[in-house]
Amino acid sequence: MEKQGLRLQIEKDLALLLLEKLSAKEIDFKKAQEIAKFILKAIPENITDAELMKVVPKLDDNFTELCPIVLKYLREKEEIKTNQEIEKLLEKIRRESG
Amino acid sequence: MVDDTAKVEIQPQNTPPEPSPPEKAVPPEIATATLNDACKAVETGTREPREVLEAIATGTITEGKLEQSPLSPESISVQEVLEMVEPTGTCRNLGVIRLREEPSEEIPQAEQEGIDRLKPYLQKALASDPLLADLARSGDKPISQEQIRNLLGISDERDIVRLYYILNHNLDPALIPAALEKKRQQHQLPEATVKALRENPELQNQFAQLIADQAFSEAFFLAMPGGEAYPPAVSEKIASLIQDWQKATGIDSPEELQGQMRDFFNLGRKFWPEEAKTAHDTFMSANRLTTDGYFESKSFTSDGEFKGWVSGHGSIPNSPVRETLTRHAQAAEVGKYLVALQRKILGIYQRYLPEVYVDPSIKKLEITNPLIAKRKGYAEYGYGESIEEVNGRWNPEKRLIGIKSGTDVSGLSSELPDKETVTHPGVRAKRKVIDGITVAHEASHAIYGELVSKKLEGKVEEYSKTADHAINEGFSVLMELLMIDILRSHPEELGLDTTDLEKLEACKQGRLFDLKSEKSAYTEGTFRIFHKVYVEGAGKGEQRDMHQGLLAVRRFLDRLDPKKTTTIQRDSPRYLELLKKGNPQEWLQLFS
Repeated sequence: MEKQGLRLQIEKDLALLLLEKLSAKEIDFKKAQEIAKFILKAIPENITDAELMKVVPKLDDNFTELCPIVLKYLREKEEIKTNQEIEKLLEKIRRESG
Repeated sequence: MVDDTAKVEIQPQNTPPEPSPPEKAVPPEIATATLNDACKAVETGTREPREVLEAIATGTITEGKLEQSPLSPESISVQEVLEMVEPTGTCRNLGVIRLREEPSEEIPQAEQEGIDRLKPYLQKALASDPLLADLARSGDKPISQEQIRNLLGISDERDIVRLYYILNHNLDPALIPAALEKKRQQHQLPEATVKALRENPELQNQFAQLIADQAFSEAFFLAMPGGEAYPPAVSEKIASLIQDWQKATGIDSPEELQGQMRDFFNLGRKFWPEEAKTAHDTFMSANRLTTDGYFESKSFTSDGEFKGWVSGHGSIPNSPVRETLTRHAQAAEVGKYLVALQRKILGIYQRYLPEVYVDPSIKKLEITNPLIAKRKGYAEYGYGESIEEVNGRWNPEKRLIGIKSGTDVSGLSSELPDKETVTHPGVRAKRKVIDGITVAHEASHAIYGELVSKKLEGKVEEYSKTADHAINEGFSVLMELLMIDILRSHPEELGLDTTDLEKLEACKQGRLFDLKSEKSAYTEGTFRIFHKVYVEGAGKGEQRDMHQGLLAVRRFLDRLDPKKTTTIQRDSPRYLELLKKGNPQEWLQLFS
């Protein structure tokens, strides 16, 4: 992923989530304001990808509304980890059989 | 002088009383969009997600509505940009292409009529706000027939197809017969082939479709005798075109003609592509006729200065017109930003600093990068200043504000993103933060000109050596610092976030540090006098009243006599003495 790509993607998901929730009147503007402030503080512009992946799982600790985004990224993280494990195993099998 | 500036406290921590209530009114340049529009803008990338999050966080989002960025380019038209922004520097591609006025001698009369028919649509494309905005954002994406139909308001399908090929492939299908006519004899094709093509627009479209097909183009231009055949799908297209073309000629010996046409497309891979029998020269000629028939473009010297208008639309004859149009569109976007920023800053000036505001009557704007800034003489007034120290300039003859913004040449910012710049004290921040301060400073020069210099007739020789130059700078630095304070108190004016506010503070501290540490017209002490005038008027501490301070500054300016400020030199003993220990009253004794 390009530099800042992950942060931008997460911010995009979060902005869309807030806008959609506002449109559907699931949250009011005051709540959206609180959440947006929290997001901007939690995800500063100079955050690294590694730091970001530590922050994301905690986003819904304060605001359960952010749960869908947290789950999405946790699943992706899990998927990457699983694929890496599979790759390692395959490599091991290849080495042992070769 | 130096020590005094170190103690300077410009910031009235209590927000200044605002002169009148219209702040609540939404300025005309702030358009609104529904939440759904905001969603679309985030999805399509026309709004930064963070910008939207900041809008929600700062409460600029209201029931059902989301205010667009205060610097929303949508509020400015390309026409306004063309009138206001100099086509130089970062905007040098602004208006880089125009329609040819005189017909090209190469185009036969019959084809010229077809060109004249399409010119008004292309003229519209060059100034179409939605089309250019799409181009600036989508980069190298082809312009679709749908866009041509909707954005240029065309209904004739034939015109739409022609414009599609002109814009995306530099190829007017209607000019292919003229191109073929020029090269027909070398291709050894009978005259009827040109006639058939000229009379049959469908056939012209088929030709254009084939030439524009990347698979065909690669296979045709990279062919060698006995080399790899065309991909089957391309071969089929060629065969179908040959069949239709041959039929349209009405010639009775189809096999012989089909053989000539197969050679024309090098279907049997008998030739190098450039050999006379193949279509190579016709294809090139069709591109050149399209380019030269419709367009003229700006030519620049090797160091980027405008040289003149030349036939065609760019240095690479076969590059799509769309690419040149995109460069124009991207320059227009930068220009829109500059116009919006200037309007916004003047609006803030007028509302928050009304006591010293007069219409500065700015006619032109320029945005440039540091290298070009050097050539443009951004440091021409100073003595001792080097180019890296100057972020902007005010040219009173042209009534032009120029700002330096973008990649820095000092090495501080080799990886500077497009939306950031570096200011002289080395603060790296979003462009709107630094450019906003620069525009405020330069606009202050324009205002000083209206309030003081206007009373003077004629041009002042060696202006940079006069006291007026330094006094002008002192006033502009004071206004720049006050503008920083206003923006810190009203971040919503430019849509600033907490990081931007920190950067603003850094800019202020950087300027104060410079005032203390350097020796130039900015720093030799005139700011100290203006600051004294301001503080004497405004009072101190809790009781400080910004507007009384500004009124005192205005009264001071009104009493300055430009005949004196421009005749007393910066190296005169009395001036130097006043710089060291003069008070405002002594200054007025000398200069009023």
